[in-house]
Amino acid sequence: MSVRPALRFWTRDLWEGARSEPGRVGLSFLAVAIGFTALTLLLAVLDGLRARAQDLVRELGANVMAVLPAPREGDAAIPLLRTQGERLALQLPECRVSALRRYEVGMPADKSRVTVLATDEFLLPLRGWTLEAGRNLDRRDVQEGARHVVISSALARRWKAGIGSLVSLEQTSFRVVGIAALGGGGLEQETVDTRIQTGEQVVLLPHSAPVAWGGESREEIQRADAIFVQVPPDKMVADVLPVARELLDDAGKEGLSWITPDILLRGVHRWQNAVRLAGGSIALLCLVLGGTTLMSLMLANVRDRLPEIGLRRALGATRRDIARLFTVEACLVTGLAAVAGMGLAGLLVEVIRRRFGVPLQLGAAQVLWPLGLAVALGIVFSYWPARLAAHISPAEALRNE
Amino acid sequence: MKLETPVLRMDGVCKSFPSPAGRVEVLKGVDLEIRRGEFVMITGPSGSGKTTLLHIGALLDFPTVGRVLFDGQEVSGLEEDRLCGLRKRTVGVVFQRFCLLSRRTALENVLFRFRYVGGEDRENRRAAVEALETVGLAEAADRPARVLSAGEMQRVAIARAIALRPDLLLADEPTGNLDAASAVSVMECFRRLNEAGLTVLLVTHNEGLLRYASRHLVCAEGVLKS
Repeated sequence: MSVRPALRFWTRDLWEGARSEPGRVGLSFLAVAIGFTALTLLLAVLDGLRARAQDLVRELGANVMAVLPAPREGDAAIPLLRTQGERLALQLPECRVSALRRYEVGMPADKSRVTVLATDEFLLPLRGWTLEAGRNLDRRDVQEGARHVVISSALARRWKAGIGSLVSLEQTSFRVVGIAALGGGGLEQETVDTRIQTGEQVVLLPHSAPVAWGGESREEIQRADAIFVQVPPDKMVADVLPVARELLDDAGKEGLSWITPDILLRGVHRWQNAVRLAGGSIALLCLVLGGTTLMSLMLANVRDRLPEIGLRRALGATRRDIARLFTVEACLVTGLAAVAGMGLAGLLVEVIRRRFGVPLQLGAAQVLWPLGLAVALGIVFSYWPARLAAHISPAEALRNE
Repeated sequence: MKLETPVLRMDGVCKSFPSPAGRVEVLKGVDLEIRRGEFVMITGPSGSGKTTLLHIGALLDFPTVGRVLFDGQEVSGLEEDRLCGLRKRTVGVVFQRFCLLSRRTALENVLFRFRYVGGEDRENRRAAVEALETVGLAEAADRPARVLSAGEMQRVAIARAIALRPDLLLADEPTGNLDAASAVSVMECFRRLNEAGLTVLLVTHNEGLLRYASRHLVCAEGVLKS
């Protein structure tokens, strides 16, 4: 058949099919649309959690694990020493190791506080932080205890500092050699040990810089708040972890906390599973209810449209033509309901994200999945009514005229 | 002398339907031959098997026993697709209750004849307009079917049936729902079509219409008699 008349006939058929029982069609449409709203919201939550998981891993650094002194109730924590980091670096030559000591320093000028990380040249690349200007701390800075710092871009903006500017920390002047974009603050308190968070107002300086804020002794300066180990891309963190644990066994099995990507994502995975189970059940239930309503609509339609079926058969329609008519009508209802449901879900996602800060995300997959499912739903739930319509003999259908 | 092949031929056609009381024999060995250009009218009381016979002739149903030949070709064992192909182009059917799509105009209802046939849009439209002119309803082309009178509706149904110039036009009680004046206009329409060469098979219980037919058969208790 030529395309134009065929299109005209199909449009007319579908339009009249939808108008034949507006109440019933509307009800099915509503039921299916609710199902797709639930499904799209579920997908948006899951995608938000997936993005959140990626953020967390990115924040920690690719293929990175961190070791920290384990917090102990009552007793003081067993200290972590920079030398332990050096031992790891020596025994695990394929890994990149960086230790840091963290200080909170007050800035009398504006009564604010900045986080100072006394570290080496490896921390910046290891954590995946990128330089926006200047250079990173280098081996010479660390060996000579140079008064050079790399500051976060947020701090550079606040201080209006550039490369070569002098900044004063606890009455000691440092020259800014680099400005870096740090992580987006994704490692939030409820999921991760706060000691590996950096915030946005950060200064990186060589651990050998001759400063001792807070009146710490030389021994105390040798202490580290965290050691980061980056495993090469061809190895898994889980493979290196037992070796690293063994190497630092002198601190005792209970003396250290190990943070790996798996541990970091445990909370997110827990949420993902819960949402998948609870949200998935609700979405599935809604869709099945919508589909059942659609099926009852189609069955009633077949019964009401018997003379029309007879007429179509008398005019040469095959069984396939009749089945296709009802199936396409059902797919049209589910497809439009899916679009409406997704539109509503998109609106809800925007409101929830803005008002409650919940990490929801709507991408192409959240649109394509429901659309594909809509067509599948239309086909599955119209299969029986369409088959029933197709198998009615034309003479029998016309007797109902 | 070479005999012309009949448009429709039935040999020993029987048809039975299942019922709670067992199978009901509706047609009991019907033999029928309709030649090109004839206007055959089958009359008989309700329940005599007229409509079943018409449905078999219109290729809408199959006999339980017997042979049906359309233009010399046996159709009883034809595959679905070929049967539908025959139904599309070779037969036109007019029903007692018109079977029009009420939301569509008269012209659109006639155009519906081409729904499963295809063809060029312009050609289809031209044929549909011509069919409406043949039944004298050209001026009603754009009126929705639901606002037409019963007689006009039936004439639109006839236009739809003839729009593809079928070999055989079958009508099931076409005046059953019409008043006397409308029935006359519809029957005049059939007569004009027959005079133009169209073969017509019409079943009715109204013996007052016999004057339009070139041949009359009576269906009684599933048997056809001259």
